[in-house]
Amino acid sequence: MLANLGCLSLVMALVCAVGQVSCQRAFSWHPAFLKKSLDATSRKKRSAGMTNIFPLTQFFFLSLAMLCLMLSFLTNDLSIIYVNEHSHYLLPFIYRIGATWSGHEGSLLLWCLILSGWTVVFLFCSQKKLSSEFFSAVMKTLGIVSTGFISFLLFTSNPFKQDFLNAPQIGNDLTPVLQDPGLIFHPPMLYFGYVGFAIGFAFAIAALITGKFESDTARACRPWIIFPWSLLSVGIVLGSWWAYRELGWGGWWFWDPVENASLLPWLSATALIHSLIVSEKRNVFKGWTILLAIITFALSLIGTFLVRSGVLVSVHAFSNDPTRGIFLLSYLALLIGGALLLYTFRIKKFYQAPNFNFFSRETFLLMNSVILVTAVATILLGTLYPIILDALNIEKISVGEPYFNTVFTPLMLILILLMGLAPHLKWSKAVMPAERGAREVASSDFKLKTLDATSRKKRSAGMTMIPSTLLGFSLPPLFGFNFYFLTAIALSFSIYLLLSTCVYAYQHKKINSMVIAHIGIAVIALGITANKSFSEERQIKMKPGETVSLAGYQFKFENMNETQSANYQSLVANFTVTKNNFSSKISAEQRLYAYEKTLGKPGIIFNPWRDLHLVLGNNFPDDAWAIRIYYKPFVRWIWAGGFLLFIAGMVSLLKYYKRSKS
Amino acid sequence: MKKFLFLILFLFSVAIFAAEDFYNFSNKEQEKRFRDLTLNLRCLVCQNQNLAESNASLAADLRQQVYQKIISGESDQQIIDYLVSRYGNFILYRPPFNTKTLVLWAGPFLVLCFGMIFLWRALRKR
Repeated sequence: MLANLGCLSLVMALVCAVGQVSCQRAFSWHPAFLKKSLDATSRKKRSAGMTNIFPLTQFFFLSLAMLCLMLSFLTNDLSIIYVNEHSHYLLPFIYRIGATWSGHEGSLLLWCLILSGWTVVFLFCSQKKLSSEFFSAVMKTLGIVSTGFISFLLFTSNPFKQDFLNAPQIGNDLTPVLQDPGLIFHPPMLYFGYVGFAIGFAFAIAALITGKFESDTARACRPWIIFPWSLLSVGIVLGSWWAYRELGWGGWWFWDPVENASLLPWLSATALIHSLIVSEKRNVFKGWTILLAIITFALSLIGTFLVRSGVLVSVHAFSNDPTRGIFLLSYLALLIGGALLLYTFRIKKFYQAPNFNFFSRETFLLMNSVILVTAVATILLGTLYPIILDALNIEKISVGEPYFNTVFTPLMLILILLMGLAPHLKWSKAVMPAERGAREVASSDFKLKTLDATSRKKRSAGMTMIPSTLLGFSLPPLFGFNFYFLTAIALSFSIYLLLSTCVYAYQHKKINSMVIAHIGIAVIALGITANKSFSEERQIKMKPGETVSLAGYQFKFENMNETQSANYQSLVANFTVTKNNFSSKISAEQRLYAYEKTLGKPGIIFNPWRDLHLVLGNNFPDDAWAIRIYYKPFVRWIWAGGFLLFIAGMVSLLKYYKRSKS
Repeated sequence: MKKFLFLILFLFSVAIFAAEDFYNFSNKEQEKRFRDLTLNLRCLVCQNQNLAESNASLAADLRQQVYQKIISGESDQQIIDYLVSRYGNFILYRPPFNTKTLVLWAGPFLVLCFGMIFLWRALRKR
């Protein structure tokens, strides 16, 4: 019953999505036949009234479908194939909610729901800020994206598919790794980010179609990039934190293709935010901003394709059942190919000769774009290259952390250096088209002025390089860590960014979103550097009663005991950690779920400076256990920095909201 | 008395043989080499995990092999060559630089160069 209702609402949602595409007002860019429809005023009036109905009803039906699926999980309706593959009658309530989006079908439904949710929010917030022509082009584009994804959901991966004949009695259970609070928050956050970039994409398409991307349009677009970006930052951080807590390697990033898929749009959106600010404030880089908006959403789609088509598990598994992959790939090619084609035809309209000095913020923001785009290309290459080689049957290779350390890390170091410097530079004074005649004189004059003004600022910004280098080289030995040259360099750069941003905040007497975000990045960089360089670990065979030491901490293996929870039994190893006056208990678990699925659950104690991470391994005949202990300094800084990025986004939105009110 | 001595001996022996490390190295350098090597080698049967962190039995065997080779004094290159000859380049997380991986290694550099040239030309037009 619920399944039928859910399926029906999906069909209705598809109808609404098609309606959203077809019932927008026509555009003036198209010749002849659409013009005719423009003339038909009665039709225009009618469709104007209809415009808002379709996104709203679409959202209603998708929410209804989501509700149906969730209720099916809560009531454990095992006749639905998707439910019986991902649920179990003993599964706790909270994980049944999370299980709704734990598999392919459910997570796609979440994708569609979130897209529709963004559309509705956009409808309420921005309709009045944009010209009706521009607005309907945005809505139409969003409708096209939505139509594609709802049909993908309905035709290749319907979550409500039922099988009454082979319905099992208990259900296949949710993969133990997913039975964690991370499942409730991480996927929605990530999708809010991923999918939210659709609005930026729609803005880009609308700009290309209407031929208008003025300062105020860029301004209206800004929250729709920053908001998803903030949520994506949180999503990535949550994912990293989840992997760290759950997978028991003490690692927080593995350059896994699935992780890369979330980092790609994030990097590109970061470039987009900066480029958009320049477009808004200086009315330049418009073509570049539009291209970045297209690329960002394209990367979200590529990520969805990589994760959802099964191509990552094995290229050959993908070619055995290619329906989903082919659908997504052709949809991707059509949407992005179409967008890029439109871009090449229409971009000339947006060309504007750069009118700024070399030592200006504009130049440095362009450099930021170049580096971030290179970073995107690097990760994309590293992720796709093994897949392509394998698909062409050339060779099976692996691309992992050493590759990214060699290629990606230097890029990030350059970026950090630029980030420290750029805010201290002034915007260049624009040369207006009317002044073109006097341009030569003017620009040289401006050049002198800006150079003079910036050199003073730059000097103070440059001065912070000295203490940061000193700190970077002296801090590790001071605190008893080993000295590595590369670590010292990376630390110096990160400390430079931190100090330089603080100097900026002090000079300008303000802490704005830029300051918070840049400090966030510095904190992340510090955390990564310290964590990568100073982590320690030990793998030992231990019996209860024994003690080992790591990084000055004494780990005493107290005892083993067994506990019973709702849907698993666990073996718990209890340890006591001591160091000087510090003493704490820490327990690592091994859980046994239904169907013999096991899961190790590390024991973690933390403070801002370090984590102690304990993993329980297998047991030996003589009552000893394999134990891994990790000492992970500064690992919390990485996530704290991520949350600073989120806060920065929120501050920026708040300011935007206040300004648009006044 | 004899029993008491035995007990003491027993206690001492526990204290001496307590908590043995899986891999004992004669120096820090060997330990670091072992760690770096196993972090940069792929577990062949896992989805995407390195040798150091994998719990698969094949990974444990390979770890043991790498360990033996390190304490018997083989160089990193010798160990890598041996593993590649047996399992192919798939085992390396750092793909070797050859004609097949030319684009992979040179690509980022080329993109950066193109970007810089693009930037230079854009700025010169002003």
